[in-house]
Amino acid sequence: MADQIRTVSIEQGQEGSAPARELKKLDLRAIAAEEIPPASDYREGKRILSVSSKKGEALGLCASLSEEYVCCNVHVLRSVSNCPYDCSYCFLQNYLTDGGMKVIGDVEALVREIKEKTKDHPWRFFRIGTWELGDSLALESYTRAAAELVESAKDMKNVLLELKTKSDAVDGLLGLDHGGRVVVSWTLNTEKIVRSEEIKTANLEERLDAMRKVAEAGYLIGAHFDPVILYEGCEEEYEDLVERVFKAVAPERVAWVSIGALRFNPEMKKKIEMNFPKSRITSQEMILGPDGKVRYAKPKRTAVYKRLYSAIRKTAGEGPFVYLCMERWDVWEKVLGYDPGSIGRLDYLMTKSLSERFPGLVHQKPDPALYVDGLD
Amino acid sequence: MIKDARTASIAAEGSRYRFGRAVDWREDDASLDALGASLESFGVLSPLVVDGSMELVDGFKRLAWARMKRVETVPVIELPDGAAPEDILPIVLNETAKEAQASPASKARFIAFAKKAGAGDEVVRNSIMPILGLEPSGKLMRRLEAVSRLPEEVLGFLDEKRFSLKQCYSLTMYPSDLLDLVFSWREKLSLTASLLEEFLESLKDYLGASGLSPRDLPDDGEIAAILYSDTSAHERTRRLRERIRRLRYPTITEVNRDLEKIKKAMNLPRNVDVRWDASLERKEARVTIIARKTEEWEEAMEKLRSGGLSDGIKSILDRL
Repeated sequence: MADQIRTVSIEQGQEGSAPARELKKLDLRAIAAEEIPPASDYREGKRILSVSSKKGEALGLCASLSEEYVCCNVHVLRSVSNCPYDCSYCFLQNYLTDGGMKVIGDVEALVREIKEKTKDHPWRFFRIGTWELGDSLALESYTRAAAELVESAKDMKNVLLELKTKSDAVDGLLGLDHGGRVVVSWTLNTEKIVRSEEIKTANLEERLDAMRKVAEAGYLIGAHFDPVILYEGCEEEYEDLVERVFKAVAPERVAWVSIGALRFNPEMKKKIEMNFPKSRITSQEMILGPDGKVRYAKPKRTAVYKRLYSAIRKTAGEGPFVYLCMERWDVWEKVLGYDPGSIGRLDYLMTKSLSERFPGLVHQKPDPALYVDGLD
Repeated sequence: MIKDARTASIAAEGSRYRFGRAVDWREDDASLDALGASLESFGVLSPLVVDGSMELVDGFKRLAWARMKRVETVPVIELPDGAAPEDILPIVLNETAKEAQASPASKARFIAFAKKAGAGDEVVRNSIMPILGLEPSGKLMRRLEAVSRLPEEVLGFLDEKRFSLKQCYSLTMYPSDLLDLVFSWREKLSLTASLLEEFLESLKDYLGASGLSPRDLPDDGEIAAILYSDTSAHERTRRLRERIRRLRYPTITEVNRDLEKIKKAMNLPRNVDVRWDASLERKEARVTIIARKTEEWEEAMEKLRSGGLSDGIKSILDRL
């Protein structure tokens, strides 16, 4: 990936920011913001990296909220936009309205916004991910932007920062004082899917090596088996994957595990087929759900979830909190044996698990009434 | 400058500028009656247009008539050697405007024809596309070129059914062997634009999921039986649509079949119905009662209180 980025664009006023300083060390062509190509040329955009100021609100709720599908109520910090990787299923190919990859240079402004917004709910423990519009660490070797955030996280007592990645770019994180307030998590998939659908990402072994390194450096770990992609024999391969993950890191260091199946907006289908003509991920038996997303027929995804969940519990025991990402309440019941009831209650259950498993991490004992009544 | 040229020396059949125009005179073609009468009375008065190598640019009908009548020479205007395509193509377009502008598919054909005749991208965009009533955009030009590469039989169908450009372009996303196969069924079916797209999309996905190729589809006995059944094209289309849906959604089909069995075993009165989301996504059963008389209502309520209905609903919910 090191030779992929050819061009940088640094917004006026951001020249002194950490990402801009890092980029200046490299021999890259500089262009003005107006020269960044349109989003229609999205692969060309993946060669251009811009450092910009924070514009408007950067912290919000995960955009996947829906009435029929349960969301974990995570917050997202839009500190990066677009990604150098080329995953066939990536929604960004149909979402971003401008080309190029972007990192917010003004990390102090991001931290200020987090502090301002979280102080209004002092009882609440905020999980905040930086992965909504891009990979949290894919550009880290160029920008060190995530490292800046990590060092700020240690002072935010009701915040847990999540950096989610498909990279192995963790070396810059290892020596940092993270105060135990950072989860480094990986999107995990079978070797076959990593090779065929997650183009340019770190391979599975590289991700697991990186996972070992950050666990040894004291970070908490997150494992996201998402998107689960169905193919013949995938169930056994997902079970093997679970074993490899928990061989790489002790379950005691794993803050949470999520499971979710491939899903996308209907208009993405043609986009995927056009951009990735060899991919077969859109060919499976899928339906249009009430949330407007296309996903595998429920009996098929429920069956694979059950295998995965059973493998996780068998390998990792009862410790790590396991949740389904954007799934129906009845699928929760069938797979995990219960339904969280509401997003507020799921948020509470996750916080409770963190509070019990990692003493000192959560600033105060979570109150279910506040989470359920305050958030629903 | 106008000169006389031997009819035999003019290249019509292989002319780069022909664009689908006939090279034979057909006396049974009523559209030629007026021109035929004029030619019979006065001969070829208006000169034909040829390029520097005597390839016919304009005047295909007049040349066809002259050849049929064994006229030795006709008046021609010879364009200068090396005349640019942007100068020649508007002449062609002028004579073929009706055919070229008839549908998005024929516009695509003309764009491809213009490029084959030597027009560069810029000429096509700026000189040809506006005459065809198209926005002079590179993206649109590339889409039209993709459409023009569809098999001739497909293009003919698109013309006939007046497919929109979007519909035409969407067909370029399918493998050509699948297009050929589905179009080979055309005479046996009653196809609309949306049905055609549904068949292609479902079959493409089914083949992708099963690892089969379009060559394997004719081996599907049920498809063959439907196509060759002694029934109306409309009925064949309906049954083929069902078959393709079953191939595309095997799990959903199977579960729905089980649910129908459960419903049948419930022996519902005629005025009570149980429905569910056929996509299986929502876990819910909807029970409807239609009561026009008190007795119907009482009968329905009695059935609702019976164990059979209750157990059936539970089974449906469990299966969902």
